[in-house]
Amino acid sequence: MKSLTHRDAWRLMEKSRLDAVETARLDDHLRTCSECTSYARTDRFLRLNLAVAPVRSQPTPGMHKAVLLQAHRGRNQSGMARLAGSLAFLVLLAVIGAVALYAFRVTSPGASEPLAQQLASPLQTMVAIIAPPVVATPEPSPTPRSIPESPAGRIIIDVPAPSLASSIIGESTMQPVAVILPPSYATSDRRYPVAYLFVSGNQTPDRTDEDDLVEIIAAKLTSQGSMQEMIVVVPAVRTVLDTEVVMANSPVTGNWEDYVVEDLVPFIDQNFRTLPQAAAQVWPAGRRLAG
Amino acid sequence: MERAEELLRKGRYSQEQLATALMDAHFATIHHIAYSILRSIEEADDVAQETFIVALRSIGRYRPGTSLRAWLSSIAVNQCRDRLRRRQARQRWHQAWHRLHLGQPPEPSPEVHAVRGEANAELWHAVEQLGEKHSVPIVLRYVHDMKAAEIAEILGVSEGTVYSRLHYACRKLERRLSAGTLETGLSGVEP
Repeated sequence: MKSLTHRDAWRLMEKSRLDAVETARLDDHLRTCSECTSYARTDRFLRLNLAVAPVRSQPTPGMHKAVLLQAHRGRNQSGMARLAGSLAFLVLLAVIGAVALYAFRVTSPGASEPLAQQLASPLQTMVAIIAPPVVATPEPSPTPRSIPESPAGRIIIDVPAPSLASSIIGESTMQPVAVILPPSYATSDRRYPVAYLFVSGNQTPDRTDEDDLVEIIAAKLTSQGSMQEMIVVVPAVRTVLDTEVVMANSPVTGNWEDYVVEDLVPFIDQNFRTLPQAAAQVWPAGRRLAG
Repeated sequence: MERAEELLRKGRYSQEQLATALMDAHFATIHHIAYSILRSIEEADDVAQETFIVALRSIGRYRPGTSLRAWLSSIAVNQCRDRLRRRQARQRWHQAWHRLHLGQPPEPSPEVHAVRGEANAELWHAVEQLGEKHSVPIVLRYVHDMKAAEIAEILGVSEGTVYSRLHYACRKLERRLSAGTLETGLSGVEP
């Protein structure tokens, strides 16, 4: 005879009457299972002792009346509630529409422009309403850091970034960039390959552990002859909101891809002795900067 | 007077007819369930009344052919569980307030039962202490003699869950009740 599981035993205990076979099986199980024996004891105790006598067999006339009244009222109320809900939704939609239209008119450059023109970039306008442009805090030094007459070692310069001018968050149009020049740069007329290094993280480009490290590694590798001399460029990768830049064009955070391709690289090529583009550029990317 | 099931099967009835039929057939059961869970006549009256109001408003959700008693019981039990949860929250706040202002917890609940003149005060106190998740299946099982399958339908859980809750509650009750209470309760009964 197959032995009972706990669950089978509990099912048998539930029954009000057991036949001889069931009784024998349950007794066998209880003889060997202390857990079910204990459960059976408590089960029996509760059956005998946990009792509550009913206190009301019929609803009072007041209750009967209240049930009918509430049921009727509820039915009417639920219909009214649905109607009121629909009306409230329509009113809400109308208010949102009116506010949006007003906002379009207020934020558009000129009220005389046709409406179609005013609605030309609704996404930008909506973003501007939800997250107003951040007013850029004035720079402590209004004059951008320019390239020294005899550049050497590691220098910080400000690169004009007109590509970022249209960003909704008000990104700066002068971007700080660290340029690490090779040891022979000041004493020769050679042209050098350029490595653009986008270092992700929370650091600013002015001074970071990472670009210190870059400088040290570049000097070490060059002195060992393992790496040919090159210019290392470390651009800023933080937005004005102190978030990490995504190297892509965005109306909100700015056209960072255009900045690199159209502003930064031409600027470096014009102001430093670099080898012609494409033949001598490497673009090591930092973590999480892929656009 | 036609039975509520027949009225629902035919689909032609007034609210009053249906309310009367439902209350005639099931009021006593629903009130007894509410009273046994909440242990308060006033609250049981409220729950019973509210159960029939909810049932009449949402009669469209009742699936013909299933047990009307189980459907009404599940509405009532859900309301009781809501009230128990609110009551437990109130008790916790009350205890915290007492500790904060008087530096001691409020009087223990068994004495309240004793004042109310209830038998088995220790047992009921132990059941209340289980929390609604375990006390409700215990009450439905032992006061109303419901099978696990019926409790599962009312609580909207599986039969296995009901068995495990009952088992857990029984073990906890056994630990909480004094050996003397258990022995006295079982005395004179054949195992």
